[in-house]
Amino acid sequence: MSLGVNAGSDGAVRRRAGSRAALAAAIKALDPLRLVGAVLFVASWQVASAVTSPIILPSPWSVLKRAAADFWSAPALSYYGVEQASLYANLIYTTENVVIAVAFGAAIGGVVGLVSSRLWLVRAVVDPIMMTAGTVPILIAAPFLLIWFGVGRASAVSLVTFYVAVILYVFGQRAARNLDPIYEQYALTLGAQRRQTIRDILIPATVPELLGGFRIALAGAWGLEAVSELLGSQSGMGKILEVLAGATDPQGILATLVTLGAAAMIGDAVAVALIQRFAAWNFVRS
Amino acid sequence: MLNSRMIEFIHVEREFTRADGQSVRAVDDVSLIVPEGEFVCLIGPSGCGKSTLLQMVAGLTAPSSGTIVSDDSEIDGPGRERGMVFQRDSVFPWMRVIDNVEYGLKCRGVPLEQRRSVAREYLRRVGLSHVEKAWPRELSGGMLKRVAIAAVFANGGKILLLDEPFGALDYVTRRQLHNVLLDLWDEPGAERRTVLFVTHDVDEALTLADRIVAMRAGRVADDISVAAPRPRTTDSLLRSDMVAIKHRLLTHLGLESAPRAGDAA
Amino acid sequence: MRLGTPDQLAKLKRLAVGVALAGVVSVSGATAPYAEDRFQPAAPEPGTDVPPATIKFGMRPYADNTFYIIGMKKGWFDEVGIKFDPSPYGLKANDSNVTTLLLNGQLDVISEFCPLMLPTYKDSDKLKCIAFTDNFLANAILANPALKLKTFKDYLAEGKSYEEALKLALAPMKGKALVGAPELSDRPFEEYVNSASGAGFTLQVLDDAKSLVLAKAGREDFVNPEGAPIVYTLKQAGWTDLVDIGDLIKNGPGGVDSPLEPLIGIVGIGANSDYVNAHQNTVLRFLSVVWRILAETKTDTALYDLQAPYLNSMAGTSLDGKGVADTVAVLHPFSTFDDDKQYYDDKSSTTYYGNIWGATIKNFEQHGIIPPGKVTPDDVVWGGPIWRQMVEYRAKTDELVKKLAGATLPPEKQALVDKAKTFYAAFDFLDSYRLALAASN
Repeated sequence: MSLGVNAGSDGAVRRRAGSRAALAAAIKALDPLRLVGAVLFVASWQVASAVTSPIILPSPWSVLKRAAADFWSAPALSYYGVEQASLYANLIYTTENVVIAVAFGAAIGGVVGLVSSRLWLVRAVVDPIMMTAGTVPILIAAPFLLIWFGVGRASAVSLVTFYVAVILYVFGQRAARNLDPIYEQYALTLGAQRRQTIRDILIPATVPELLGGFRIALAGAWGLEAVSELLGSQSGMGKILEVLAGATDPQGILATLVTLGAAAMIGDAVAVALIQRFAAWNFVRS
Repeated sequence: MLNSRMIEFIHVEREFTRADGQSVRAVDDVSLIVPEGEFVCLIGPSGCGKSTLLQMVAGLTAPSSGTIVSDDSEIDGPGRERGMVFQRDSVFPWMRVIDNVEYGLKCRGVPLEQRRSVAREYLRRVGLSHVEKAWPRELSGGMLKRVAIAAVFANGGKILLLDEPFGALDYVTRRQLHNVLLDLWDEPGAERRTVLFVTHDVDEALTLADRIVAMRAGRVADDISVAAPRPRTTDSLLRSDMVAIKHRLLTHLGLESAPRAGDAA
Repeated sequence: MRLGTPDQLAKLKRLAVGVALAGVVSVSGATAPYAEDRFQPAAPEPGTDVPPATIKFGMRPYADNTFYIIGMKKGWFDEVGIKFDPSPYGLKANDSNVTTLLLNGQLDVISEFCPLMLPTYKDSDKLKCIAFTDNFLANAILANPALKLKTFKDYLAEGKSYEEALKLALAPMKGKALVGAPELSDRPFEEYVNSASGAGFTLQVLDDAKSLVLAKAGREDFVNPEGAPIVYTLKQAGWTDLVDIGDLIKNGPGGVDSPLEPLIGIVGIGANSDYVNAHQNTVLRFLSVVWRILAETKTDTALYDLQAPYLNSMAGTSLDGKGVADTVAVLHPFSTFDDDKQYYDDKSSTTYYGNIWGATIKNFEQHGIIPPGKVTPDDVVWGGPIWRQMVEYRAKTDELVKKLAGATLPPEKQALVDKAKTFYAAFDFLDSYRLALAASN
């Protein structure tokens, strides 16, 4: 006698990520406690700015107004030698550099990291480079890059690309090493060829960790890009920061930083969306 | 025509070198013939070599000496002809259930429509049609085992290898899965697959097997034919010949001492 | 987390109200004009001792910003009791940090081209211009010698008019890039020359250090450096002076309403107003040594040998004493104590501070650097009242010394008069007055 197989009989089926779970996530994201924290921060900034002069600490409202005023057009910037006179144009420049650097760095670093876990020769050659690069502050390279590439995008982009590649290399190598060999064995017993296991197992299994590293690298890339621009560039948010620092314009500096921060937050949200899309299988349990 | 030597072990040995340099013989001169369509359980205490033997049939590891011939060709690596169900969960977490079940077919290049319908059919037969689109993380342990079984059956393959597949599950789930496995294996109108099933659960072996091979210290200690008719019920295990086999096995497992001459059978 | 209990809600409401009130109170209109912040002269110290003082001083890397080192090395500052912090020569500053350091009090006095302090007037009125030291004539468009171009002066010599000469000299720049320094001070000259000639060149900004490297490597065609030593070095290396500010001033439209007014640059000294109004007499003594250096270097050019190594270490140039002397003479001749009349007394002069600063302020307002109507020249330039106080001390000393001329004095008093005369010769009229006064009593 064979028992009929019953869905409910061997454990509850967990609820799928559907509209209900999404709504719950949205409510959690708008956590009232976090909102209160943000409001208190801005409020204490406002109070602190009231007891100091505006050249020491401008008020949050004035910073926001300045960011809005300068966003589409800031003619004063051309007087300081910034190539494009608006926050928007320079934000685009910086964002373009970040996107290019992160895309290339993540691709190169991630692939080399994965390969290094399988091919000892690659690992032997690349690991020492990554170890040294990890300890030396990467901005030391900035003057060399300036001499080799001049004041265009190339020096800033190569600096950030290298930074991202190092992070993704480490994450990629670690993800591949942490991969349970059972999946590959199982795949082989199902008749998969070795190269199919790279496409069907190695890559999809390591994507969540790689995306995690990607998100971290992206966050750091914004700041590093701004500093690279600060050191020798005609355009970009970093250039604006350098110029306004020379003019001792803290209101402008904070407005630029706030704008850059907003872009970084949007970038992070994109990274999170990517993680949700490509690594949903890892995070379905809420 | 059935192959009477579907799996043949010819003086198979497997040695490992431990970290301290000592050599360990996990499989010691095993010679065995398994005819096509037979359900064989390999039973023995931990470390007796049964899992190693299975891994060699799967092609995931090679014998130190001797050969294993399956379906008239020597085994030199893994392949779909010898599908395997592991004790730990091996279902790919990054693929939905349906994609897992059809994976073997996809690797072979079977077109989408065809492999979908095959996969769906086996999901129906293991009772998981309703979670076709689910992610493995949403399923319980017993359901994941069903997916693995469905996948290996959907892939075809004349030989089935199972390495303590239900060892991590509770008693009720294990009993249910026995029925799932036997339903798929004993399909009316179809050829039975040759099964090697490793376990250390005596009742499980008695419920499932046509033949039980007991192993100890890397060697075959006993080779018992199980004649009880199928389907086997709770009462089947109470038959006197089954009880006698059970005593024999428990002795091989070291849980009972050998019956002295004169004791009641 | 749910904010559940009524007690918690009440507390949060009180907090929100309090914060909102604080916020409202702190928001104030920030574009009203500045209340009159002016130099408050102090009385001379009683007695005859020169009180010691330490000034936190910074110099920028240019020839007309580093001549102070001459006074430091000759001990002239020691003679008026002044030491510098950081010891012994003060801070090697640069344009990117000098206004910030002055604002936050890490520096008290700086060598400065004062319009560079104007952008801070958006938020603060602390930075003042307390003296002028030289008229800056180094703005120049220099062209790569390989281009073999003709200059504005050449076209003038051929009989062309001012406008024509300008157009022809700069025509080769059409659509090309001019490498300019980041400092705001360069923009009026570049903009005027670009529009008056119709050349239509674009601006590429690069600081002097990098620009010099590229120029030496021949990778630049047209450059307008910030620092006079760079201009001098390039001209010595054969770079063509297409047109410079001297050409414009000499031949262009004159008068105080001329479009050239915002181009006129007077280099000077900047200071934090809090420091000045608390240490007025120290400031006078400091300036006395400045005037002494400016006068002495006109006759004793060997003094520049003391400045050259220090300037080279800051600016990356390799000038000797003579090179520095030539740079000064040609590109920014120093203004002595009495030359300062042009800045403060003659309202019709193009270098009268009211005219220049009025035009400069208007220029910055037009470019959105400072809000309109907020700043007047007197808000920024304190050089006038400070100079006048010293002029007054000189007149009073003259009077006292005349009175004492005929009389025979006891030895201590005679010593005081002699000492007073020494101070007088060194432009320290404050102490010459004090000593003469003590001798008269």
